[in-house]
Amino acid sequence: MNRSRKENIMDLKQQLNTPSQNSIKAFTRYKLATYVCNIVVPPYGLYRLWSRQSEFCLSEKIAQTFVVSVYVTTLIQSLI
Amino acid sequence: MGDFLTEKLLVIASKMSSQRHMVAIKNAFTALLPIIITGAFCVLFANVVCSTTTTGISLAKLPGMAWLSNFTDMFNAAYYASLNFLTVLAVILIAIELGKVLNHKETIVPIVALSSYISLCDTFLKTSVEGLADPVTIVNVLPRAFTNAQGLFLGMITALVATEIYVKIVDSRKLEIKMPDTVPTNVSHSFNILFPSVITILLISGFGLLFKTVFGMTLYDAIGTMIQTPLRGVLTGLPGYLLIFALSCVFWVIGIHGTQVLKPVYQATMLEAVLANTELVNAGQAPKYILNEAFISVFTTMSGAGITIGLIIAILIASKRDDFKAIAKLSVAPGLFNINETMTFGLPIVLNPLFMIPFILAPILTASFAYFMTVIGFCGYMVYAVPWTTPPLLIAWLASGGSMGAVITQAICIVISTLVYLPFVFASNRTINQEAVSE
Repeated sequence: MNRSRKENIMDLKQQLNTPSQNSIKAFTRYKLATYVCNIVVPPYGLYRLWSRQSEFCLSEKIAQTFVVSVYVTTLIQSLI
Repeated sequence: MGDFLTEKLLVIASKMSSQRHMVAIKNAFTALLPIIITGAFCVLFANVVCSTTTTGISLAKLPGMAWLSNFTDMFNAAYYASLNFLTVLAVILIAIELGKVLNHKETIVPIVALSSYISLCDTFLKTSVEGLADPVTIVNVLPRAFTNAQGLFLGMITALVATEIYVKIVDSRKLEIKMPDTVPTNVSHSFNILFPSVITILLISGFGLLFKTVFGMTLYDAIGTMIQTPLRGVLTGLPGYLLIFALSCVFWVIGIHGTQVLKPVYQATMLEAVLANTELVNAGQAPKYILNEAFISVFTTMSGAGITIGLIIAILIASKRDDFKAIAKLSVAPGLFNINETMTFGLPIVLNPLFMIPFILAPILTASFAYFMTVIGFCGYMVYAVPWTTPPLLIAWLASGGSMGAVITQAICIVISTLVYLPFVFASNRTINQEAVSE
């Protein structure tokens, strides 16, 4: 009984500490550089976002593209 | 008895961390975090670097630096694009993430969720116009309160409910339209998702209308009054805040990543609190919430859960154990970037009865101290979301928008955590003496 509880505890711990397949790592070096590019040079930022080597998942691509699109539109509007 | 409690806690933690709605919210906010931090940094740069009109410190006010004000439009535009559409982005991402968990990766899932959410939003705005006594109503607009962080809870709930309804209808296959075999698959698929999408949006929209008719208030107001405000009250109040972070440390000491398990519970509310502060400061008003996402990084989890920077210092000062000293030295560099796995699993702190008490106690004491210092006005409010990997002291300066009081408070917090760990390091010295005697 005691052994099975210990085994259960070990299993649960392993399960909890194993990173999920769907989990997102938002702060890799590639991604950090892309966030800066999105503000400073938006077209290149978008290229990095959608290129084949991109580390971004679909959720991140959609969110970042949305922000860059609104940012560029707002910036152009404020400059004109 | 100890194993029994550990097992029960693990079962609860396991259920919480694998709950699909919690997983969807956690992943969506992880994807949103860089956007929130970008927005916060843009406000910070606009005010502390580019502003020539601010009453506080600004680089552009120094002689010869006025050219920096040319970048104000750029930072303001980035701030507008990121933080003003937070709820819209949260709805889309939560729907995508929940769709992934439910094996529905169709593009229509976030569209249905967003349409459902917009069907619950007001499409008019009342505003005052100079020269007119009564407010003017502007129609066919989406008010800012529904797109920025204020609408977050309604957005989160709508995204979850809409996605669940859509998936249930699609999976039931009862509304599938039978097409001849000659029809291409993508065309028949478009027809198959037509009715589930329309029905989901109509159900949500109809419920919103019914709710307003019966109770005389919109769902936005009801959720704000009945869920958002009480939850914010609990989590941004000191007792609730301390309870949740003590619980997080309890999870850590039994070997579970406490932050990951409890993040879905507090993250949305704490982010909303720091964003509310950012908006208030940007509008030239005083910040409102002491406890928020930035406060967590600065005063509760600096150098990692349990404020282990105090333990590193205590070991380097007082430990006679070579193994502890070696691990502490190894942990200095990652500790500067708030990563402490080398300490929690290397020392270890996990399942170590000696360090359990200070590990739970240190963040409670530092958070309480910083809260008190903020209340008395010595420490500045945390107003900007910053990456949690920013080194101690710099993170306090950035998150508070340049408050030296915040930097000093964080330095004192490091001293407090060192003092909390010190007696237990002395105790660990005694254990090595006992081990030598027994050998």
